[in-house]
Amino acid sequence: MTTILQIRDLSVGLTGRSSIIQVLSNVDLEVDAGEILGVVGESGCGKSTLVVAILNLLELPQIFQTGEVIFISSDGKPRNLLKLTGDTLRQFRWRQMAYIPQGSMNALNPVLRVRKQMIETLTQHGMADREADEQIRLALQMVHLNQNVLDLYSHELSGGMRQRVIIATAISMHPAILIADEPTTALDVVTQRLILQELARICRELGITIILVSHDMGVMAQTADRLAVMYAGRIVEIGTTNEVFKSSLHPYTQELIASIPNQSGEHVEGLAGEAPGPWNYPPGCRFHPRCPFVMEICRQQVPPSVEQRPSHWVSCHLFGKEESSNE
Amino acid sequence: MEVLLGNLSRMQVARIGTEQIVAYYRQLFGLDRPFYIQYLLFFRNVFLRGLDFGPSFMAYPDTARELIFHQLPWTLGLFTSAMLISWLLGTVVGVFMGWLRRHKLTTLVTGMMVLLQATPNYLFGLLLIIYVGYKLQWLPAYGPYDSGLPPAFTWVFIHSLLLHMVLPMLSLVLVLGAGWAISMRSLMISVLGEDYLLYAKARGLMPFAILKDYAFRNAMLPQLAALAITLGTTLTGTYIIEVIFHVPGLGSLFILALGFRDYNVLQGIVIFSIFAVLTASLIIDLILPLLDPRIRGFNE
Amino acid sequence: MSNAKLISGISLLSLLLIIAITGPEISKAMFPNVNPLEQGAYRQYEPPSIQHPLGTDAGGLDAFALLLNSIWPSMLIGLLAGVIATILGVIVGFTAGYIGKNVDTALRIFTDMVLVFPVLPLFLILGTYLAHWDLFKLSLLLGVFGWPFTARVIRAQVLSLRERPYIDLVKLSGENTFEIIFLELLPGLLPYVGFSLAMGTVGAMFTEAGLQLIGLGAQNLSTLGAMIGHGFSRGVISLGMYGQIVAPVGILILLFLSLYLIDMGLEEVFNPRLRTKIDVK
Repeated sequence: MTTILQIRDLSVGLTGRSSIIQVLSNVDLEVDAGEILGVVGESGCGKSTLVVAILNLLELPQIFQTGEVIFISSDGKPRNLLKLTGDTLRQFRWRQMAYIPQGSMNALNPVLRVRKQMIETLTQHGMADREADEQIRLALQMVHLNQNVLDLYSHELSGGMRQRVIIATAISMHPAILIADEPTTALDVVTQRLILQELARICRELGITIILVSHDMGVMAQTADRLAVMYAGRIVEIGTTNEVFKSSLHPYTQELIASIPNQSGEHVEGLAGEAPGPWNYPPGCRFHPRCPFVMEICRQQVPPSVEQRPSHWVSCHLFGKEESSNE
Repeated sequence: MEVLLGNLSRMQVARIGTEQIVAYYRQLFGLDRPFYIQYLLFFRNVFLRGLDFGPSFMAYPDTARELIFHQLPWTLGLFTSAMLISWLLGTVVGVFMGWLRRHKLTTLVTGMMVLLQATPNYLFGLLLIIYVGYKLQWLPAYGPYDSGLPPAFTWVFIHSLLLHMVLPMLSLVLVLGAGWAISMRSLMISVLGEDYLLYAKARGLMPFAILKDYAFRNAMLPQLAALAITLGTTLTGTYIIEVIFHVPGLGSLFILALGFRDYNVLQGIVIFSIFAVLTASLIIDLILPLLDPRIRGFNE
Repeated sequence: MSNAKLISGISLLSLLLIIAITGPEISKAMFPNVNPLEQGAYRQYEPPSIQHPLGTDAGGLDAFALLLNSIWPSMLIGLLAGVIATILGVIVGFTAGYIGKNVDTALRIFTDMVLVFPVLPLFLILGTYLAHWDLFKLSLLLGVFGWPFTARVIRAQVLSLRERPYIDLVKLSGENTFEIIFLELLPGLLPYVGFSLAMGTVGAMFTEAGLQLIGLGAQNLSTLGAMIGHGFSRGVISLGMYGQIVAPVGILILLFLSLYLIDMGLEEVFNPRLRTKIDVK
C-alpha cells in the first residue's frame, strides 16, 4: 500500500479576544492510495475544521498553527500542500484533490445553471470546451443523472439530485483524493445508502482515494476500509474498520459503537455528559471526564499514540504503559 | 387652502383690477365652486384629461402642466444621472471594499463612507459652492449653464452645461454613492460567508471568476432591489440641490410656486413626483426576475 | 463599556452641549454694552475682526454671537423631534412585530409607503405655514416624518426576539402580557431605541437646516440652519464672508459626528457579529 497523503502534527486554533482557543491538536493521519478512510466523531469534535485545514481553506477566526499536509503524487514527489500558494494551489485544487462539502444543499451558486458551474470547474483548469463537455456527460452518467439536469438551476433540483451533481463535479477531473464531509446528512435513509454505495463504487472504478468524514458509525461500518476516531480535536484511535469495530481499544470508540441502534431495536446506552467544545477542552486526555476507566494520569498528561496491534493505533493511558515509560 | 388661494388671487389682481376682474379670475380658475368639487375636478382632469393640472395662477395663461414639463428635463437629467452614476460607482467601490475586507486601507475607507452617507447632500453643496466655486473659482456654482449662452447643440453650450453640472452632481453622488458602497460591502461580506463561495474556492476557480460570478452576481440582487426604495429620498434630495445651485428644475419651480401659492403647480409637482417614483419602482421590479432565477420560479 | 467610539462620541457631545448651554452667557460677556442680536446693533456686513470674529450679517447682528445663541435651539429641536420619531417608531414597530400577521402586513406596507413617498414636497407645502410656528410645533412635525426608519428597525428586532425560546418559557411561567413586554422584550430593544434616537436627532437637525436653506424654515427661530439659510440667501458668499456659513455648518457636522460615533459605539457593543474575534466564554 502506498501512502498518498500524510498529515503530520496538524494544529489549528481560533483567535479569541485575548488568547487563542485550540481546536485541532497534533493530528497525525496517513492515507493509503485507493482506500476509503473514515474519520468519525461527534458534532463539534473538529472534523470539518480538519477537512478545511487539509484543503488549505482556513479563514479567520480560524488560524493555522503547526503541521504539514504532504501529498505524494503518482510520480513519487512529496509536496506540502499547506505551502502552496497562488496559481499553483489553484491548479492543484480539484485536479488532485476534490471536495464534497458538508452543506451540499447550498454548495451550488443559485444564479448560475448547473452546466456553467460544472463546466467552468474544468475549463478554468485548462481543459478545452469540447473535452469538458464530454467529461461532464460521462460524470453525470456515472451518478445516474439525466443530462437535462445541466440546464436547471440549483433550486430546481431535489436534495438527492443536488448531491449527485456535487459528486459528479467532484469526480469529473478524476482527482487523486476526494474528501467527503458528511455527504449523506440531510438525505433520507434510503437515499443515504444508495449514495454511499455509488460513491464507493465510482471511486474504486476510477481509483480515487476517499477521506470520508461523518458522525455516523453506521456509514463507516458500511463504507470505510480504515477508520480514524476523533474526539475533541484529537485522533484517539486508528485501525481497519473490522478491527476497530470488533476489538475496539479506546473507551470512546466502544461507546460510539454501542450507540449504534442495532437491528433488534434493543435499548441503547448513551454516554453520560457532553463532548466539550474548543473553549473548554479539559487538560490531559480530553476524554477523561466521561471515561469509565479514568485514572489519575489521564487528568494530567495527554496520552501518546501507540501501535497496540499491527496497524492499529490508540491514544489512551490504558495502553502502552511499558513503551511510554521507556521514553 | 382654497380660502387662502381665494384671498391671494384677490391680492394679485387687486393692483390692477376691480371686483369684477377678481370675480372673473375666480371663475376662470374654478375657485368659486365648492371645495370638494374643485378637488374632484382636479383629479378628473389629471387622470382623464391627460395630466391637466389646471392653469397656473402665477404664470397665467400658461398651464401648470406647461410649467412643469418645461422644468422637468433638468430634474430628470440630474436625478437619473445622479442615481445611475452613484449606484454604479458606489456598487463597484463596495465590491472591492467587501472583497478586500481584511486590508488595512479598507477599514479607513469604510469609516469615511459611513460618515459621507449620513451627511445631507446640501452640506456638501454649500461647501463646494463656497470653496470650489468662489474661493478657488475652479467650477461654476450658479445656474445650469452660462447665462449668456443660448441653448443649442454647439460644443460651447454643452461644455458650459457639463461644467455647471459638476458641482450639483458631485453633491448628490458623494452622499448617495457612499450609501451604495456601504450596502454593497456588507452584501459582499455576507455572500463571502456562504457555502457556495467556499465550494467555488475549493474547486480551484480563478479568483476573478469567483468575484464576478459568485460574489458579485449574488450580492448585486438585493442591491438592485434597494434602488427602488431610495428613489423617493433621492428625488427630494435633487430638489434641494436644484434650489441652492439655481438649476431650473422642478425643485426650483416648487419653491417659486410656494411663494405664489400656485396651488395647481404644487399639486402637479407632488403628483408627478409620486408617479415618477412609482414607475421607476415598477421598472426595477420587472428587471429583477430577469437576473434572479429564484424569483422567476415563483412567478411561473 | 470601553469602546473608543462610544467614549469619544459622548465626550464630543457633552462638549457641544456645554457650549450650547453656555453660549448665550458667553456672548453676553463678550458684548457687555450692546445686545449683539438686535437688528442694526452694528453696521451691516462688517468683515471679520477681533471685535467681530465672524463679522456681522445682513441685519447688522454680530455673527459670532448669533452662532453661540443658535446651537442650543438646534439641539433642542433635534432632540425633541428625535424623541417623537422614536416613540412613534417604537409604537408602530413594536405593534407590527408583536402582534404580527395582518396587522404587521398592513403596518409594513404603510411604513414602506411613507418611506418611498417623496415626502419633502408635502413637507415643503406645510413648511410655508411654519413661518409663524414655534419650536415645539416644528419639532412635532419633524418627528412625525421621521418614524418609518425606527419602525423598521424595531419591528425586525421584536420579531427576532419574539421567536426566541425563552419567551415561550416565560409565558409558561405565568407572566402576563404586560410583564412580558416590559421586563423581557424592552431591554433587548434598548440599544436599538438608543440608535434610533441618535439618528432621529441628527436627521431632524439636518431637515430643519435644509428647510431654512430653501427659505422655508421657521422665520423667528434662531437655529444653526437659520443662520446658514439667511447667510446663503443674503449673498454672504459673494462678499467673501463665508465664515458665517461655514461656522454653523461646522458645528452641525460636529454634532452629527458625535451622535454618529455614539451610534457606532452602541452598535459594536451590542452586536457581537461585528467583532472579528471570538469571545472566550
